[in-house]
Amino acid sequence: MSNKPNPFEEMQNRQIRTFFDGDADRKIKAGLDSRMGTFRLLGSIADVYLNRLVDTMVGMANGAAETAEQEEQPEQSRLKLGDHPRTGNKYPNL
Amino acid sequence: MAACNAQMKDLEVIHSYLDSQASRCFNLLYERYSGKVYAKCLTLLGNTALAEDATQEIFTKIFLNLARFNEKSKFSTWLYSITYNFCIDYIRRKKKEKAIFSDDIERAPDLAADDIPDKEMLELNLAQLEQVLGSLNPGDRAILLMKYQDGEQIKDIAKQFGKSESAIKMQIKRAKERARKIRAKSFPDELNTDAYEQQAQSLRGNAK
Repeated sequence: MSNKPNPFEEMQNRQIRTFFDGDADRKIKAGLDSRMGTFRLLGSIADVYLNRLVDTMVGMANGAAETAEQEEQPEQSRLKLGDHPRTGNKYPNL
Repeated sequence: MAACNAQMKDLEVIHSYLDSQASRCFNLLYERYSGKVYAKCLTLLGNTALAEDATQEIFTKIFLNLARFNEKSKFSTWLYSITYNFCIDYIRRKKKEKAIFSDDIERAPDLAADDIPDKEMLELNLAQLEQVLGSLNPGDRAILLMKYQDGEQIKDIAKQFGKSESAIKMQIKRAKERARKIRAKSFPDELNTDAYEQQAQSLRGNAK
């Protein structure tokens, strides 16, 4: 059986030689490296800052909830001046 | 995991890349396949600048989607199907053609693809082949490359295009017929018409 490439393979081999002999390979590689670098950088930024962003947002949401709770019950959380919490007397030791 | 090296098979390189994200592994895949991807883009798009851009876009897609490669086919088959689809989509967008294959292909009966023997396609010289492929439409070009350059089976081509096997057989048959006509028109002196006539007669005889 012959190992001679068929004309389709022969044409492909010639195009591949042109690709590597010219500067097409170098140009594509440089463009690809630059894109991959950008994607990796974006990935790293997302890795580092996304967690922090989520934590901050959760923290902010909790803080807002606590403030809202305090605002809903202002009377219970504060003593009036002169009131004892248990006896209600102005002068509990007398 | 060991760093990638030239002796490793494609799947080993891919697993190693997905584990380590090492650039060396992706570069190895690029070195193995960039030439072939470029050659296919050049044949389909017919322009070196477009072929360079397409090759870069295709490898960017591969970089972003390598984790989705499900290993149901060979890596090369997956990569080439992305290449063909990318180029055909590009041509379709440019020409605003909705269908690369005509509707009658979808309703094709189960025909044998060998009405024109493969030998006829494989006997073309380089100049003839380039002329013929350059004059065919992109769908025909892609399907002939898949069959004669990549050596793919009809069922695999059908899967890639999302068509039935009989539709692909019909598409190949028509592509070969168109290629024969273009060859006859472009290289009338080199065509042995008697041989074709004999062949056609014997095929008609077989059909009876």
